Amino acid sequence: MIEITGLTKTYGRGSKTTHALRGVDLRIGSGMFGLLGPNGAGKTTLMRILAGIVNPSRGALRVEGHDLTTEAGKRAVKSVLGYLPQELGMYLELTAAQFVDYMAILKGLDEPRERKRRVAAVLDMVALQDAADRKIKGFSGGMKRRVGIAQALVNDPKLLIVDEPTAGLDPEERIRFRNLLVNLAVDRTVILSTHIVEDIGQTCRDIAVLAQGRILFRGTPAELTEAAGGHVWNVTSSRLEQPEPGLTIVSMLHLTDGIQYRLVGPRPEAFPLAEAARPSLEDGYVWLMKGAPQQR
Amino acid sequence: MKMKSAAWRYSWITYRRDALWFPPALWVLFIVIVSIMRHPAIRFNLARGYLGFIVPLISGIMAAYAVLDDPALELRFATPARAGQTLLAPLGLIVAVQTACALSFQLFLLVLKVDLSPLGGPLGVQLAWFLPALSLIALGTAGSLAGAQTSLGAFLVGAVWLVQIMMKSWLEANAKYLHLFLGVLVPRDPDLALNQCLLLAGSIALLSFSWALLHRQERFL
Amino acid sequence: MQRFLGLFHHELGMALRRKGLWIAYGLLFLFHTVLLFSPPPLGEMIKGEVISSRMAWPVAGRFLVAVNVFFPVVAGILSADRMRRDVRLGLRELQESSLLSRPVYVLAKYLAALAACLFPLFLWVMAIPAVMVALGRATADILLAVPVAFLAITVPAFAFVVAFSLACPMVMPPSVYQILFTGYWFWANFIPPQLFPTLNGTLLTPSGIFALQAFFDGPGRYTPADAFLNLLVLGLCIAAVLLLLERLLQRQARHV
Repeated sequence: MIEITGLTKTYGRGSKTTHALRGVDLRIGSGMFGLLGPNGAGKTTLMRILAGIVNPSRGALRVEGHDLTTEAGKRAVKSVLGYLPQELGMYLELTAAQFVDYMAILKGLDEPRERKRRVAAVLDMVALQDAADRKIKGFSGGMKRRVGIAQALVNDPKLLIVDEPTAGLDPEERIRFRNLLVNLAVDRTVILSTHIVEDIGQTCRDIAVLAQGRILFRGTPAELTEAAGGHVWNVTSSRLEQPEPGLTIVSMLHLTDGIQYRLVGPRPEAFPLAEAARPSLEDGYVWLMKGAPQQR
Repeated sequence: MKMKSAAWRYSWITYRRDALWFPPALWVLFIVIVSIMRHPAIRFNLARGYLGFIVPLISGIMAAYAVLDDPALELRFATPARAGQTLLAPLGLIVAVQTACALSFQLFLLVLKVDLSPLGGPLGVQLAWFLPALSLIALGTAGSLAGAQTSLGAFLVGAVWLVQIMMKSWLEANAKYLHLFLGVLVPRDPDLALNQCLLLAGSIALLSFSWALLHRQERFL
Repeated sequence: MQRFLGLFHHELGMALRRKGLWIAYGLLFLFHTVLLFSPPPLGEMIKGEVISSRMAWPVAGRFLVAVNVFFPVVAGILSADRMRRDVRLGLRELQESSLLSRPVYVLAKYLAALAACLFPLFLWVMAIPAVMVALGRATADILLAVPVAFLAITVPAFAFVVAFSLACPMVMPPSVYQILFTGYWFWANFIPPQLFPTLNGTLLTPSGIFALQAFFDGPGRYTPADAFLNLLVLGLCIAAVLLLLERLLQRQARHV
């Protein structure tokens, strides 16, 4: 269980102050939790605070009862933490097995036989058992990400934080990743931070949307989707037009008889024949962000 | 704080390659030059130059890169590994490599019958290179971490090294306790022991400062 | 020309915004200022008498040669990552795919790195004589002598150092270059040739000693012809290094 109260993080001073997080309140239970938001929303800052790497400016933060604002609390959390950062740095000259083994040592897995067993197990979990003895330098982007998730899992963490894990992966890799994360969430807390709506929709029962350092939404994907109900429209037009203010073009498709637009917003007055469409999670997200204060 | 042997092995494997091949390369260069020169005084000066000046310079600049140049730094910060381990593992390797170079160089000098006794007894000779090296290691590390930039630490080491050499006469006359190279240049100075104690204390202070800085992990991301 | 100016402008801005540059210079400025205004023999530049018009040029020359003892260390060490940074950040691919030509790229980066190293130094170098004139310790002639000495003594030294600092780290790790550069700077400029074989006193010396003796009445035997030859040799070295750097980048691009 993660309890966050009034979490605030600011960088800089005076006119150069950046408010990365502004009074965030969250309670996260076990299972898969999705954190969605645009770039610059504060997701990575929140992930790093949860990983004990960044100190909050204000607020309270407890993970499994440990106070993350103290050094002792951070060490306690880090011993049960698996972390896959957005920018994954690795030692390219090591093999996959060596790198995961090294991270296992840093995480306190001291017994060599048990550690070897765990390394083999996690590499198997991410389907890298055949590449275990190859140097990471020769791996594709997807394989490197899988090494990243393997090192995050090697200490059998109770809390797994994955920050933008599918960025740059092909569709097959992304699906494999998502399925892996869902399986892992059965008996631990997995926090998936991403701006890819589809990843959240396919994997999480519980989500929050963060924008400009604040929580804009907290609930289920279904609730976020429903919020856009009555505000999603399909319009077909023979020529390219700018939508009226207040409407966001979510997608455009060039057909033989015109252009099909999917719009989110109030009923478009310029298109009386606009058809109400069933909202998707992406529509819900767009509708939510339309109502949010504009990014500075 | 315990470092498992496996952890040391990985620290060694992942250590910057230039930190491993460059010191021996300079070692070879000086071995060759000393071998070529015949005059005992020149050989002694070269030996003193390598041990007393080159080894500390290499140590200091390598140390400036040791912590921050870790490609997996963010991952390391997210583990329970302590700040002391993050600091001392790479620095320990630098000290190990430089010690191996310095001691093997002295063995080579023994074979060539180059007399290092003007630098003092066996302990005096070792302190003459080790304390300046330790001081510059501490300075390079602290400079890099304080500025969160490797180049700042490297600059501090280079600048201090140059200033200490260029102003050695002034330092010997006016500020010998701050003279990094007193043990190498004036080994019979009556205040050498105090100078060395101060160098050691200064190094420990800078390393402690570096250790404290490492607790503020977000500065380095 | 537009691309050159644009790249120069951005590179200069990025280099000047590095806090490490200002911290490094700040420390050296403090050190040098204390040294300058200390009593002799340390502060031999500022003796009891006022620096007259006649003395302005020799004093300016000695001042800038003294600047060349330590300040190039800033240029040498802090410039070592400027070119390599583009490789590390993955920018080379973007740059190669643009209309930016390699010679323009190399020249703009070089001049920007050089300007970034010279600008803070020039401010300080002019502040010192300005203060001395304001305190009545020197005549106004020094305000002309110092910038001329800066051009003749400091700029060639920095130009030489920055060229190697951009190029060499492309073929060796920056830390190795910084060690070699520091050692080289001492060996090539400040070890007397009588003591040990060195580049000191040869035409490859960038310390400014040729210009000092030839144009600023410094003690020694170098003539204006020697000084110009020294500048020419340094210039040829710079050109050769930059050309080799451009060729190296071309080779790297072909092997991607």
